[in-house]
Amino acid sequence: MENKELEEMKAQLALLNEKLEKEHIVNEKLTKETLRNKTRLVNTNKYFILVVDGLCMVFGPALIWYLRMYNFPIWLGFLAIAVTAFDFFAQLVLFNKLNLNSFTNENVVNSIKKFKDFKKYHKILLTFEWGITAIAFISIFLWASQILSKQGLIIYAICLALLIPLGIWSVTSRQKKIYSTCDEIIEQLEEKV
Amino acid sequence: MKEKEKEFTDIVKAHKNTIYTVCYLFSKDQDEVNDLFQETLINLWRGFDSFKGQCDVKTWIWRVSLNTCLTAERKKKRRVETVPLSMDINLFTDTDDDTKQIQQLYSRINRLGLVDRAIILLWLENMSYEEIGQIIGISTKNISVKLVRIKEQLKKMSNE
Repeated sequence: MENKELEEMKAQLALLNEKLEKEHIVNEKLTKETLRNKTRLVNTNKYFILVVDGLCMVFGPALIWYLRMYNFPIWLGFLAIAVTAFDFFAQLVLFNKLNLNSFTNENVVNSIKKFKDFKKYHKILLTFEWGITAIAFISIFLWASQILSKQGLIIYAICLALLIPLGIWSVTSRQKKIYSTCDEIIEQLEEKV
Repeated sequence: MKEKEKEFTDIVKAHKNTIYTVCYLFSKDQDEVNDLFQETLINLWRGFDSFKGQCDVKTWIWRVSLNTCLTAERKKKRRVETVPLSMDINLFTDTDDDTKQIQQLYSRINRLGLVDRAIILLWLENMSYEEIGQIIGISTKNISVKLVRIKEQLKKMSNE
């Protein structure tokens, strides 16, 4: 046999080895399990928000009706419920449309896009929620200033000053964990592309 | 158990090229490569305890990979669930220049008989006749005779 052809075959085998060298053995099961655990954290947040919104929607009207006796503006109360309902359904649509649990059945590029979209839309929703919450607190404070005594108002302001930072910290730390989890998932998926 | 798994995984990672090359050159399509790859890993795992110290790791890997491919039967179902290790590459459908070269190698070797494929592959990997004989299980003299015939066959194919 011509040496040239043998050499060609050896070179082709060397090419094959070179190509395989760049590939990694992937532990598919473990990778999917790790990603599923991470997605579980993101989904837990979804249930938490839906429960909180749900409770507000259910008990909100009764509370507003009760506060009516203290000259609480009804329009503000129902606006709050409408906004809560919007948030509830927006979260449902976001999570169901993107359906993060199905990523193990999809190709990697689609899965990466899903997690990136989830982060983008969730940030928009969160900005909206922060805005509405701020308006609600200011409105309640203005209403309270009409019915509470000076002393009562001071106590109310102190309570707010303590609760608001706690609330902000709780929400932002949870959101930070969710977004960093999404980033980890995206990074792990991008390694497979 | 975890230590044993880690040791096994390390060996497999170090010799993945060998295992995959053998499976690729003995398959008809990507599904078969994956099946053979999984099958080889299963056989390596099963023989892991009894192999230790008996021979060189490289020889053992070659022997098990070739034996698996030479004796494999076509399975209807893929065994992806039982062994969670895989390689994410498809040498049958990729179209880059390197892969086309590799596919040329594949088409040459694939036209040989099963044992001949094993012999020429080991020879192309610069193994001595003794080593080839040890892995395949035939005498050195037999190896040299077979190699001559294989080279003649390959020459005929390239002249066609």
